[in-house]
Amino acid sequence: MSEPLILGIETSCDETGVGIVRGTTLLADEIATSVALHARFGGVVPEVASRAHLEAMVPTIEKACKKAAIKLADVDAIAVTAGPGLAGALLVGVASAKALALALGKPIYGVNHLAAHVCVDQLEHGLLDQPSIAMLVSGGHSSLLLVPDVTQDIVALGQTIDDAAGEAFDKVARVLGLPFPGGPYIDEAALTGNPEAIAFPRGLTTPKDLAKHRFDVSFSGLKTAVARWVEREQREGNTVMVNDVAASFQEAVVDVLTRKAIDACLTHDVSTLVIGGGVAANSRLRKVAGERCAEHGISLRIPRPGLCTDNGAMIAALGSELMRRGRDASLLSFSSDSSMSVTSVVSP
Amino acid sequence: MNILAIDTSVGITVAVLRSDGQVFEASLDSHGIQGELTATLVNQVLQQAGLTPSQVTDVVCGVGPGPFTGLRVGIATAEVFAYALGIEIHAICSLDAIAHDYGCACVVVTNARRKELYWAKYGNTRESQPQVNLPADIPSTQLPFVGPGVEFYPEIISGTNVPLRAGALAQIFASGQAQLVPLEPMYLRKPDAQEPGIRKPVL
Ligand SMILES: [Zn+2]
Repeated sequence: MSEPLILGIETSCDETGVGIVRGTTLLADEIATSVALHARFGGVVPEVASRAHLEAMVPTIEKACKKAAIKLADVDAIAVTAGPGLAGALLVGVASAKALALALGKPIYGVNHLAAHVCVDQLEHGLLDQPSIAMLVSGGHSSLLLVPDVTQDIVALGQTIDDAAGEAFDKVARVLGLPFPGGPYIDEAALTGNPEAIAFPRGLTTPKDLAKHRFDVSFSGLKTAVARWVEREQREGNTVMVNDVAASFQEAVVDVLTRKAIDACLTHDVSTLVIGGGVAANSRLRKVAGERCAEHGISLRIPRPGLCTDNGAMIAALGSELMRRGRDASLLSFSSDSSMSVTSVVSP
Repeated sequence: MNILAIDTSVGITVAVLRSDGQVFEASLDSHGIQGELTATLVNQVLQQAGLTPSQVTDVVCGVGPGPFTGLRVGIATAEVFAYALGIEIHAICSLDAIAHDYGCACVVVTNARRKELYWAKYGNTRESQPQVNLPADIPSTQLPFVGPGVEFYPEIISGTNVPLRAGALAQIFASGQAQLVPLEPMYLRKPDAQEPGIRKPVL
């Protein structure tokens, strides 16, 4: 008998994602993004995102089925992001997924978006090691997680106490006159910049901060420091070396993230680090994480960039793992939860 | 023909109009629960009607106007349900259901929040595009105000509260007299979003 066929739907932010997997094999991963609609606002506008999800839903499901060369009726279960995310955006995906489950007479899993970011790596590198440490960094999240079992047991070790990592990239990009979303543009500018040109602050790394916020991160102070630096240069009539600022800022972010992730692995005696979320596409983060993991004998797993950003495949991947492990499906009346805790992997 | 009708512009209302003419209906008159319970109510009316999803031949969807977040749940549910089964979906202005049940010329009003009402004028059929206005700005006619909107500003707009029934949407469609509209939410308002101005210095 072949492994179960799972269709996953993701609408927690501005990507309408529909993924189809069989077991841990990726068959389709279609995404419609409304990012261009948000660019002029400098950030995701929830109502704009929700409208775009509704428009994109059926065409994206259709494309995914076509790509996977399957009929909807062949699907064994539906998985959908139940949270965390933008409330109105989540509702469009959840309503669509419930309608699919009802029409097809199949079970539905309302799953945790963060757990899915971790689980998606199974599509690339096989079953996760138990336990793993996971670091999720994107425009919406910055979390450090201890993952003994991605289907039922995740412990939040730390998170951002202000901005998400990706948000810091967006805001600094704006200061530097780079487009939204900032991540890829800063990454590119930094390639030809000097990461040691400016010593930007590393948030929550002093002994005093570590006592209380060992695995938490903070990017608000860094963002302000960059803005101050740029303004001072401008006021003094100097040309702002965008590439150096980008590289130095990026270095500060990457340094703190990788240091904390390695510390979590060593503290909890875990030998696998998984990195996910949009910021995991950052080339410097991938490089430094690789070096520091190698130094400490930690195996590093990062999915390819397309699977790091929000997508339907990651939701399908988690649905598939839940089914493989015999976890209970959700009730048709389950609620989406914009602030869903990572301790809840699947909605009851 | 077994028609499934769904509307979430005012709470949730779903109905099945079975081929023998019998109507099975379920409604919940509150907002904020559409995401949880719309599919459950659809399941419930299908069971009451003794139908499996694959026996539904047509889906009728009320496309508002209504508060956006809840409204989208019903449209997504109807659209994806129809798509999954490969059956046709037909869109009707939600206010038409209320005018249909009232049965005479009237102005239908529903709650638009932000101190406003959605409204449309009806003779034998809908005579105006639905609009959104402050109660005081709805043009006065000799016609009675009808619909859940009469409950909110009684000092300005009073009339008869006729609830919105998905069964009425199914019946309008079955009659062949429906004023079909595009399958998209009648938002009537642009999203609240402001483009950022000149960045303020942090110093
Ligand atoms: Zn994400």
